[in-house]
Amino acid sequence: MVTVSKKICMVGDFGVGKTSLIRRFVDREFSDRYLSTVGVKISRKVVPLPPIDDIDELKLLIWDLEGQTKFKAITPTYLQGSSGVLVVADVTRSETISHIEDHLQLFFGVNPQGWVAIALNKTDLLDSDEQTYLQNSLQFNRPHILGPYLTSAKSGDNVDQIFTTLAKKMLD
Amino acid sequence: MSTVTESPQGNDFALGELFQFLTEKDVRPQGHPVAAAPAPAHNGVKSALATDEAGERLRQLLLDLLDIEAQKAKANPENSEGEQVWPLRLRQLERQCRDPRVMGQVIFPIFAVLLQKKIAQSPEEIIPALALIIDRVIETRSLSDRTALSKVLATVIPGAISKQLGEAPNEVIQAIAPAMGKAITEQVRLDRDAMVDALYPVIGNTISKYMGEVVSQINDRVEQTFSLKGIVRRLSLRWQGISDAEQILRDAIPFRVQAVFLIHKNSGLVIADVQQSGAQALEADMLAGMLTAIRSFAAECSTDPRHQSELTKIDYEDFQIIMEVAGYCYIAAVTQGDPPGNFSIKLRQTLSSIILNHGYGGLLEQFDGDTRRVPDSIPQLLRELLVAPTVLEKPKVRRRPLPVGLLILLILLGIPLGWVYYRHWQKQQVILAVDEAIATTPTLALYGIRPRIQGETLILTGKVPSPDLREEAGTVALEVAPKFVLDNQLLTVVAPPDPEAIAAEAQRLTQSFGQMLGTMLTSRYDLPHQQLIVEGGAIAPEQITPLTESLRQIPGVQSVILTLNGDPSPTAQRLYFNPNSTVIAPQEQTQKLEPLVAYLQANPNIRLQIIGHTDTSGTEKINQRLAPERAEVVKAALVQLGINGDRLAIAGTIAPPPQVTESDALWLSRCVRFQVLN
Ligand SMILES: Nc1nc2c(ncn2[C@@H]2O[C@H](COP(=O)(O)OP(=O)(O)OP(=O)(O)O)[C@@H](O)[C@H]2O)c(=O)[nH]1
Ligand SMILES: [Mg+2]
Repeated sequence: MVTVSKKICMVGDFGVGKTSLIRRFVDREFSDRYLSTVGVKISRKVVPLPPIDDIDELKLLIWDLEGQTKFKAITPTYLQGSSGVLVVADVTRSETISHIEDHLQLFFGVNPQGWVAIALNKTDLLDSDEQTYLQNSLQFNRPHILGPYLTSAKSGDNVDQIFTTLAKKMLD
Repeated sequence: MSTVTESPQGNDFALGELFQFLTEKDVRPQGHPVAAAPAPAHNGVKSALATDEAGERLRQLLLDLLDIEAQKAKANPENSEGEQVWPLRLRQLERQCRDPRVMGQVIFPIFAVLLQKKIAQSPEEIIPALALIIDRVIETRSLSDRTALSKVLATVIPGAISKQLGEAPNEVIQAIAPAMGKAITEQVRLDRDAMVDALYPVIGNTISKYMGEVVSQINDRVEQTFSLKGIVRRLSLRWQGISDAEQILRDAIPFRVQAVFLIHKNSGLVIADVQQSGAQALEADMLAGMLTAIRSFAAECSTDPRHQSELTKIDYEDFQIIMEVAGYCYIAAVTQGDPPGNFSIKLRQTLSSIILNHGYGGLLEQFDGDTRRVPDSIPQLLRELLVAPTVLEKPKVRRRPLPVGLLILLILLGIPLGWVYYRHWQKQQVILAVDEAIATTPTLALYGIRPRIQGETLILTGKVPSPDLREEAGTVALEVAPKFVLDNQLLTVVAPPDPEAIAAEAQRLTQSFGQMLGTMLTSRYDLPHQQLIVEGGAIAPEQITPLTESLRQIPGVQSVILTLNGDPSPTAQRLYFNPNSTVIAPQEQTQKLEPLVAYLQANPNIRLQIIGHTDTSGTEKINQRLAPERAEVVKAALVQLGINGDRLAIAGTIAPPPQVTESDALWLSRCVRFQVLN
């Protein structure tokens, strides 16, 4: 049984749903309550891998970081040693989307070889036209960037996909 | 001449260039080119080649070679025409020799081969000739193609350095010493963690804490660490409100290492973990991640940006997590019970071994969560910490070579780290070991005992306050350096530096201890005899031992004399109160009032005056009221316990009770005392 561990971080503005995405992915739960994360919370999820690889499973250690606010930036030390990062934005708050670029730079500054997956979260709050528009208007065609994915921690849309795609990329 | 024509032209690039160099730069196109022309200045330095002697010698060499060829041809019978042709050719050649351009054209294709032959035939002659120009050869080459030359030299220089280190270490050391400081600074700037890991095995985690700091700051730290606090640790625990029982319990829990993790510093991923079997397994990755996050947080919060502060201990319920940190990784040990001093040394030794054995291959630095790459020896080393947490690896004091890892690193980084440690490597090891042994012996840690080595003798210098400690230091030192002869030059300090400080410290300890036991204790310092005299109320001898032990540790105290008031009479007791309070504490009730009630009941004729006192804090007005109130409360309590109130008179005063002065601790005055009236 070969298990490989990887650290990934959740990065984004406050309240965009980082903690909720982890909860959905790890515990299969969602709550409407907003409990802002302070400092760091670490969760773990073992992702089984298809038997093609010589690795049987991937143990993801997911660092849920305190969201960025006007008053407090994200602490770059927490990003160290992170093979990948999930940059999250809230589709109902455009400023969180415009901050994606800052988060990308912060992460690649610490970890030039790392992988990023971009989650545009809370898409359950948009109708399908708005979703299509968003999908078309936002493109990040750059190396080492996956997505953007239209996710919803509430409905579970694309949550497993974004985590597992990022996980597999980090193994290559 | 078959060998010559077969030789591919210019097959040896370096020699081809050498030739070019000869023809174009130094040999002048004149009638007598290789002869007596004054040397052309090259960078203002007189060229060695341009001297008559050198030119002539080279010419001679070449002629010699041709001569050999000619003789060979002669000896060959098939080559009959040679006999007539050769003298002619020789003359021709001789002429051509005088024209460097012709000479060049002629010799160029065969030069390499000729030279090879000559070298094989009589190397002694070639060497002096080439010696004159070899420096210029290298110089020219390095100007024309630096990378090529570097590539060639790179393969031999490491070997050369290690050979030289073996044969003449001093020369290497002297050569590189001046550049060491700068090189280290640069490396620290480029990659601090690599530097920490390189030095960790010799210096330990001090390096990460203080790198880039001046030495004086280190000294400050050390002094703080070894302040008097260390020896009164036992007492301070009690002051913090830990009861005797708790303390005994705590001491009784044997030290045990529950689990040990080796954690990648950046990512917090577990490189290796070992745990006690049977116990509930700890979640290694979660714990490691959290610890790493906490450490990052602590580093982030560090107020002084110049310090890289490292978190080294976390208390967690009844566990302690003790951490030892190097450049790229750290060990976290989950422990129970009070860790013995040896344990931190053992941690350090373990981490050193891991770094020395595995650190330089990049395994620790580039750990990516794949534990298949982690060699079994790492968990084995960690397991040692579980099964024998206090058994130290014996310091090896016999000759040992500069560790290979260091040497490789030294060459790779271009920083030969062995500069200090090479010659005095073994001595340093011993001194370090002795230092460590002394620092971890609580009774010795306080006094700046300095070990030194001269030849095979281990010398201890410094001052200690008693002959016992002097002996102890010697024993401790010899234990870690058994192969050495001990020269114990430690001075037993007869006159302590500051009797007032001793008296004050002793008084503070004594009174605090008294407060803990709810009784008044004072101490006096008898300077001529270096004695401390402790006076006070009735205390069982075993209760006071911790105090006398602590007092004896104060430098300048040779002995402690107890003159405790043997009077067991409950009427001699004083009840102490919290500030501004009239409440009788439960232990005062049970330990003092109840025995007093029994005494009064047994002696029905005795009448008591109950006198309340206050301390000098607070306003006089409040105190005037408080003093008799305290007496009143005690009277009520006694009545409640069955004593007739007629036997009890009360009084109150804001003056301190007898034997208590203004310089004493305030609590001593917040009391109620008794006076027998008839
Ligand atoms: N409708 C909807 N609400 C969501 C979704 N994801 C999160 N939320 C809500 O958004 C709020 C914030 O979610 P969190 O997951 O705590 O956000 P966060 O990014 O962790 O916030 P910080 O920890 O403060 O940085 C909560 O009230 C969630 O219920 C989603 O996909 N859809
Ligand atoms: Mg959160």
